[in-house]
Amino acid sequence: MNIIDINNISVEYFGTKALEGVCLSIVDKEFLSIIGPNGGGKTTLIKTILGLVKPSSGIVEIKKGLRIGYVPQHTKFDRNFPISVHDVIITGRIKPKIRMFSRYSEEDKRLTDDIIERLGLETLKNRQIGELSGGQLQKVLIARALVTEPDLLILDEPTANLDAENKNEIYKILHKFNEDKAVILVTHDIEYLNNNKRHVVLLNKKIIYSGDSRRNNHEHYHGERT
Amino acid sequence: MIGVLIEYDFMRNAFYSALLSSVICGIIGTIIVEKKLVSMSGGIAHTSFGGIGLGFLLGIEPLIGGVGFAVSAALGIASIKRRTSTEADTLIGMFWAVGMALGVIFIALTPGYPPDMTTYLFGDILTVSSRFVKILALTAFMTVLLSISLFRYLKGYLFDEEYLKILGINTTFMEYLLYISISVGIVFLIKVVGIVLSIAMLTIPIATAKIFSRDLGRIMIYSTLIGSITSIGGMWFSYMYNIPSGASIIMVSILVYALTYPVSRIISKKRV
Ligand SMILES: Nc1ncnc2c1ncn2[C@@H]1O[C@H](COP(=O)(O)OP(=O)(O)OP(=O)(O)O)[C@@H](O)[C@H]1O
Ligand SMILES: [Mg+2]
Repeated sequence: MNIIDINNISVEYFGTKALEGVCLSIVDKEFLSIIGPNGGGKTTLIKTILGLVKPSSGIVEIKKGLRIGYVPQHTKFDRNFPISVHDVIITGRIKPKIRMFSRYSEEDKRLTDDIIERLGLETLKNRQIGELSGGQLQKVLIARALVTEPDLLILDEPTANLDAENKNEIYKILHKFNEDKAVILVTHDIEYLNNNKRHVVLLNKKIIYSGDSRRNNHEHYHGERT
Repeated sequence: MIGVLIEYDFMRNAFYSALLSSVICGIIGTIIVEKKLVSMSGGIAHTSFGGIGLGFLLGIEPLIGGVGFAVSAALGIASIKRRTSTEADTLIGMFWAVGMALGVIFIALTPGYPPDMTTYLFGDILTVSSRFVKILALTAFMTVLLSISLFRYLKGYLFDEEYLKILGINTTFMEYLLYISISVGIVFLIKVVGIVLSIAMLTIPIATAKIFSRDLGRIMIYSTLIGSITSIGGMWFSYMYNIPSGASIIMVSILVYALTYPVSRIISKKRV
């Protein structure tokens, strides 16, 4: 069953095309990896799914009630903002409907503590967000995405500035999550992809290649190859 | 000081205004400092001069015109920035100057003897009426109510607006609410410290509070307390030495800031 259907999406930024006629379906519980050159439109595709970027044509259909967790590639926030690691993570539990005097429930707090423990962030939880290293911050952002209890987790180059040990730890978390939920991973980590045969999409404005490397006979090509 | 407070209505009004505007400054100031809206707020304050001028021309309460212009400036800057490629910084500069220019024109067109604009430019806390104190109290109450009741959303929005949007929260509503509150808060401050000096009231107490805390809520509370002390102190100097209140409040607050930093350094060194 598809949880997301991307139908013929094109995206333009002030006249330059970032995506051209992209079609892609995401099946429930699948692990989709998106690769491609810098500027190939990977982040743009994800932002289109999330509704942060409006396509110039085409539509994205998302299963009703699908909860999406997102780990951005570039964080837009100010790292000196006065907020603690714990408070950043629990933001993932905030309810969409704005209500006056709403509070975090006991469950929200418990889930937050669980995630903090699972990702080994206990010692950092009262630190101000600016006092973390790049890799530690990355883990906090993953925690914020996980605490929402999403049905789909989208990560945009989450391992870009991590050491080998942390990288493996993140992959382990993703695989565990993937046991019953879907993941979209944007990555340049070809070594990882070689060792983990999965559905891979190569994106460079268009989908250049899409194939499930676990089942070689199911490989199929879109458009011209480069 | 207590005797003077009890004896004179104008001193009592000034005292209440100092306290109430410190509450507004503590909350709104923390928001604009953390959301990097300081120059935007300067723009809003100056644009409101056009509305104040229009108020004189039409013979209505100038601050009503000021609120109108301030809110339009805030929402105008935000929506033009979203639709075009013009940088917010540039737009702020444009609104700032055009607002001032319109104010000057409206006042020149106002028939009769030209009104004295110095109270609007530099503020005069010793001349506020008890009616204005009530308006200020209402504004302060609304600011406190909104920021407490929506604190989690506010904090999330200020920190990472994009993420809140992904979580399905109506961030456009948050943005409008924030900009309207900022505009209204700033215009009422104008009466106390003036257009030119309002930005100081919105930043100095917050900078001082940030020496002590790295928690959003605490920064709001501390800057309200610091603001209350410095504005009452400044008001007192203004009364005693007959100097303009806006300027004296600001000099007291910058003095407190300048002294707090080294003192806090010494204290924290001793603790280690
Ligand atoms: N906000 C923007 N305004 C204008 N152009 C943009 C914007 N964001 C991206 N682009 C352009 O769109 C194209 C795709 O960018 P995108 O960020 O999606 O690439 P990417 O595949 O994520 O690259 P990377 O591997 O470097 O992260 C690029 O040519 C880029 O210059
Ligand atoms: Mg990218």
